[in-house]
Amino acid sequence: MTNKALTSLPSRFSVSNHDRNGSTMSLSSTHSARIFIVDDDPALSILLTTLFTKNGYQVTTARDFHTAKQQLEREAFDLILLDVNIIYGNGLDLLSYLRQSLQLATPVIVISAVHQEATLIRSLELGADDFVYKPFNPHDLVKQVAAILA
Amino acid sequence: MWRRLGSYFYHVILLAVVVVELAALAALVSTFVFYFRSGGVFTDYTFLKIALGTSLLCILALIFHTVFYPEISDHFDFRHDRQYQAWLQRWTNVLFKLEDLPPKPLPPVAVKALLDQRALLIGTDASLLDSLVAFYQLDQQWLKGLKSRRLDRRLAALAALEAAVLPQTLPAVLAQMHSRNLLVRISAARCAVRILAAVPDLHPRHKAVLLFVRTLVKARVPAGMLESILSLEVRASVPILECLFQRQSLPADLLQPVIAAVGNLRLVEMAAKVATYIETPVPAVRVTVLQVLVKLGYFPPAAWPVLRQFLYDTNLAINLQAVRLLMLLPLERSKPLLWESLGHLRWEVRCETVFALLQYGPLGIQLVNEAVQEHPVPAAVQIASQFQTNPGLPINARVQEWLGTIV
Repeated sequence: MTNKALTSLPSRFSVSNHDRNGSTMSLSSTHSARIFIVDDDPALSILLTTLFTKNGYQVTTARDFHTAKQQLEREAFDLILLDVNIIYGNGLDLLSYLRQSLQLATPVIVISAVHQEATLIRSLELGADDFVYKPFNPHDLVKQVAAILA
Repeated sequence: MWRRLGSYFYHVILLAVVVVELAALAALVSTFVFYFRSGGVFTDYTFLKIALGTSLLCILALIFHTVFYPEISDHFDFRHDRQYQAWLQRWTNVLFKLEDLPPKPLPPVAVKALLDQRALLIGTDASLLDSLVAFYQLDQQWLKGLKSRRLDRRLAALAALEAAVLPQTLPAVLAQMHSRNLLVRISAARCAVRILAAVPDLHPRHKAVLLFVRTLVKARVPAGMLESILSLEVRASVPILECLFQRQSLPADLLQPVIAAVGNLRLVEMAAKVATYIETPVPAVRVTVLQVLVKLGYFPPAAWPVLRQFLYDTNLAINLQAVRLLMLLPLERSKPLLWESLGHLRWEVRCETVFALLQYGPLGIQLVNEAVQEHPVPAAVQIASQFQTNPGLPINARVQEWLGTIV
């Protein structure tokens, strides 16, 4: 019954019975978290893709607003890394679309190269979970992502 | 590269077409002149034939350029992007120890990818990429580029050094701030600020900061550019600005951008230092000082005795900034001067005063309404009546009402 309940969740849990007598159960991860990276800069996109793939995550990328929007409508992700500047639009508009139109509570980390308080406040108002300024320490970002997904 | 070559090629063809067409025209004219002089018999067609042939070739080349060049250029762009992304992937793999170092020498696209990757990182990964710059002796190449006679090479070297931010290259970069070329001076100043931001434990008495400030004072960088350069990196700009303020005297052309940069970076802790220049004799600098004080929200005690003088200065910008500075005070303190400036000779100042009063909320609005009834200056009554409103109304309705009055 527990197995049925847990497997019905869209998350990464499974139940397996390791005890032949049927007395103990364990939870294990069946698939890694899926991260969606929206960034127009190939340098950052490649860096993050390699970094998170190396750390066992599944990564999908998009460079422009429209592709990212379509991708978000089609697929569910566990976390989104969103750059403020993207092709054909703004990252914050995409965040607003995600929260208001799609009504999704997927955790979002906003990335920006410009140290502007206004952008930071706006993104947090729109529902961003965290904010990262470029340049950044990739290992800290991995820890941040792990903390949000935990 | 190919774009530059394409552009050169296009201009050469254009020049050739014009020259050849002129030559063909001259040949035609001369041929016809000889034709008529020799009684209707053509004597020499050779020059005419060569001119027409070359002209045809040039036109064909021009058509080829117009039709095929965009295609060729797109192809090169695509190839370059693919190579660039491949190099980005390669450097990322090197960074995460998934691949060995590529062999020397590196193509330009690899260097660009390395610098772009470096610009994204801080910490140990950034240090690793810095060590790669040293390993491939790229800094030596760029330093050699700084000595080149060609402007584009010097600018490219400065751009690369700006992206690489290598503290050891600072003296060579600073030397470029004395260049005869303005573009080189500006690029060198930008590059130096970026490098300084990467220097650990930077403070106003740091050797690198002192060296930069000494060079900056002597270098002729335009004020506007200097302001934007000093506003580039907070980490570098704070010690630089502090060091500049510690100097006994600063020339007016340097003082203005320095003060403006304090405002741009919102360095509230430097407000008191900016305020010391409030009575500077240069009007443009005084305007900047007042502007920055308003931006930082700091009303210096030294401003109070001179505020009335500023309100009636011949310079309109100073009058306006004085009103804005008054707004930083509580209404009971600023009221006498604001009441007075409601009747100012200049319409702009009267208008600014009303706006200042409205910013105070109900008490300010009440004062505007009182001015309609009681102000002795007719101009003050007129401007106040334009903005007269009911302080009890909700803010949106009041805004609507003001807009209606203005329209």
